[in-house]
Amino acid sequence: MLVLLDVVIGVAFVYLLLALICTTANEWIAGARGLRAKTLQRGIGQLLGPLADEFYRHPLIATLSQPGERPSYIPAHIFSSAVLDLLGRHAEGAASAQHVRTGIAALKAKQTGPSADHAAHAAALEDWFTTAMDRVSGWYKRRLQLITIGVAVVVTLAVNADTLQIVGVLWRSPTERAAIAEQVRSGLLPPRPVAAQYPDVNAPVPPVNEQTSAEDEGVEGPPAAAPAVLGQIVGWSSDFKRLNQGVCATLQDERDRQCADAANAAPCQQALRRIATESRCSVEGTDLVATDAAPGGAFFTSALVPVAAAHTFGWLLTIIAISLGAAFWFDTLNRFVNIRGSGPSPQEKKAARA
Amino acid sequence: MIRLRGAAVVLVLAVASIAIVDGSGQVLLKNVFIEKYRNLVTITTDFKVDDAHPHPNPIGTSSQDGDLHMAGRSADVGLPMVAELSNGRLTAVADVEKAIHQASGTNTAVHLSGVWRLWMEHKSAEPMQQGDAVPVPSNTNPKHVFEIHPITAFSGTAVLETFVPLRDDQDPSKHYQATDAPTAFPRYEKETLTVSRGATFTSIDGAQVPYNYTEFVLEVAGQPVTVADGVFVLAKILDLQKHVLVSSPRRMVIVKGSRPATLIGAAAAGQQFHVLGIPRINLDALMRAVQPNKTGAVSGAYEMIILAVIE
Repeated sequence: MLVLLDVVIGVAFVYLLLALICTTANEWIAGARGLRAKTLQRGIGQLLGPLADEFYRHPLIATLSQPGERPSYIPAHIFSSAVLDLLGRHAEGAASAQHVRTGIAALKAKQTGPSADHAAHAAALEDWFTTAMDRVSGWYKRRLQLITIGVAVVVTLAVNADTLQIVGVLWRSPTERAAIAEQVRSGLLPPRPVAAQYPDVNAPVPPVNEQTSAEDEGVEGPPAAAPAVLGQIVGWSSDFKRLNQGVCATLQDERDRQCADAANAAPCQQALRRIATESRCSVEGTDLVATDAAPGGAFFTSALVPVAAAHTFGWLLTIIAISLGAAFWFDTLNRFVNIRGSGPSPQEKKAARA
Repeated sequence: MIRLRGAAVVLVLAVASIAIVDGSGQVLLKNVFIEKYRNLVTITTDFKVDDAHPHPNPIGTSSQDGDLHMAGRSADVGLPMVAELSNGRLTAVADVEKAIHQASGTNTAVHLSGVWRLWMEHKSAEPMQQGDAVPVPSNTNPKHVFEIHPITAFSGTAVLETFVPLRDDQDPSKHYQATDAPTAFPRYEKETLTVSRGATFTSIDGAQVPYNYTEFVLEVAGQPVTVADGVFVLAKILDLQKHVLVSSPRRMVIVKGSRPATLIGAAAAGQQFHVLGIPRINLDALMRAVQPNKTGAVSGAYEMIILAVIE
């Protein structure tokens, strides 16, 4: 049960980090493209029709953004004040304002009955604006979702975050599972404080034979940091290594054939030189072992399709998962870490004692 | 508004994820250093006095404690640090003060002994790693968590006579008013230190803690144990009205050859002493509570340096 929970925590942690990258990239893209302002402008255009351009030039609205830019947020009361001012400037029955007047009249009739009262106009306008903004907000979210999916695709492929592979590594490797679970627990939840204690009041200083030496402690390193662990469960290393195995086997075979009889002969020397300059293989004893160096052009010409086919389903799962957003995975992770931190149930404790 | 909320979420998450792999404001001590000093009272080192106060603090309340502050550097310590001569307004230490001022700014190391004191009182926002280059301090109180306080000997001259209640020999009418125990000890007890023990370094972090000099009653809980440079004894903490404030025994740190060592060093369990003390992080308690290569949080990991017995 705990193994499963640790695997889930590990996967959620990877999703959180990737979703965090996506969220940051989204914010950056949305900001750089002025997505909010553009979506708002589209909504205002629908609301005000021919009055929209004049509305944006109105001092109340123009001062909400930098010169030359459109605001990305307009408070409802500013909207109503600006529109009422514009309506005052346009004569009753003017074609440019007719669209807005019709809208206000319909809302007022629905709410309070016909009235020429300024406050009622303002309230109707604010109501109209707020309702419209709910729709604008929906448009924005949908556009952002498309960007999120695009970014998620790029991030997933860039780091080769295949959910199936991640689950497989975490399930098979207790070291990686424990390391990542420990990192998550210590990072998301502060460790529970323990009280400093001296069990023997007559021993404020431990006897010399119980004191530890710094050298003893230095044998093992500290727990692996999250990035180091992440490197084991995402990334292209294992694929590259697998692809390089073929190259290394060929080189080793060539070397063995050419150098079997005459080590000083030119073909043998040539084979050895090729091995020396080949970053995809390293010499370990008499064997050539594949490294995780990028295989270069060979990857795109021959290996891309089978590699992509093997990962497609796992990538899809990752893309869907990280599209849910960093906040979602942060909450989820916290929930799982809390469950994991609560320890075994009373029944489990009893069973362990028995 | 939506943008702000989005930015806040990103920020919180970014900070949370950075916190997973990094820390901030903590002190990183070498394990070798911790093992050497966790059960010693003092440290002796060559110390360059870079800046010293012209006069000891006056005697009054809070920071008007009669200390003579100096900032400097020590290769053995390898951290931003200060040293403080306690009870600097005693006539008996006037020559030592003169020596401190003569050494100040000369870039020449002098032999300095005193109680080592690690305490989150003037911590920096940046991590401090032992052994990193220590900048020359520009004043007598740079950001630091390591002190030699109080000094027990400066350039070969012992100042153990300072281990008496704080006073001003020039104006005996002045009395020092330390923080009262019911205020100080709950704060010391509340302090939780996060400790991460690595292969070479151990990082320690905690909130900044106020209240230096505290007057309290200690009730000896066990047998005092003598070490090379002093005495350690576990004791309960009581206020001046003898109400127990901390029943879980805390370690008392007493300098060899000082008046408190004479009085408390041979005390039996149950004996009470009205004392003046300052807290320091109890490295021994931290190392007992957190195993090697682990991270943990420890509360109550402080010990009291006894400066004077109020007889």
